[in-house]
Amino acid sequence: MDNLTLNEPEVASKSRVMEVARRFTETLAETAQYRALEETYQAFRQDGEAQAAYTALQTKQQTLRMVTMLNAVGEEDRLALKQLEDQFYGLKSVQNYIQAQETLISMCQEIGDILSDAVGLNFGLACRVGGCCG
Amino acid sequence: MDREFRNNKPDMFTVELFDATSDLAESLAHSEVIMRFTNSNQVLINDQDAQRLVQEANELHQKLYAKDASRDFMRENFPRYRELQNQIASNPVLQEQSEAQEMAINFLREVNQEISQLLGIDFGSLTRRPDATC
Repeated sequence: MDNLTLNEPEVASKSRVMEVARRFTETLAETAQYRALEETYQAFRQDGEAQAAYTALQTKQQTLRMVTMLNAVGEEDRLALKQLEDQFYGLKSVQNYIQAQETLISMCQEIGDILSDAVGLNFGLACRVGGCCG
Repeated sequence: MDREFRNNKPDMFTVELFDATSDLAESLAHSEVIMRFTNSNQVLINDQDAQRLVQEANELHQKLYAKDASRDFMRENFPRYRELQNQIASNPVLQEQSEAQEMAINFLREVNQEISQLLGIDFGSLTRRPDATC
């Protein structure tokens, strides 16, 4: 009987889980990968050329939204859009920000795998409201 | 807490991040909601009748909704599919598994919300691999 009691897993209360989740978040926010994302985002926001290129690209995309949905973008517009994309993605601050995003995502995917194994559900999919998990 | 989630540290993790992730994985796995879900899965694995119901319903669903399904086939088999759905809905093992899964998903969403609010980013979406399926 004693052995059975000893083998029962310790139950973590909801408040305990939330406390551990907050500590986890603090640790994640202190990683070089997360700090790089914050730093590159600030650099991107403060880069006037990048902001202008971003606005120009967004404006063009919005203008072409309907024809893009209908798959009817003309050659001239397609080239103009490509040029704006090349300008935007060619900027160093944009590339640094995207690189930092990709690195953080890779790390978070590894975290997600560990959490998914622990709970028996795909953590990322379970957290997606309106997805295939409801 | 045990060390069941502390194997194989990914290269890009610091020791601190690995410990924090492992702590979160452990506390989630030992929470009442996730333990109920894990237990309901185990009961389902041991219940061959319930598994057969689900398997037959899934197979029939695929055949009924296949592109080449004939009207005669649909007319003949749809009543059986309805019957299986009713049996699934009233099967206590499947009901418990379904309810436990829903509660587990809601709990994971709450935990994700806590993390995401602190981070200022949707953490769950960062953990999601592009090819992930339920």
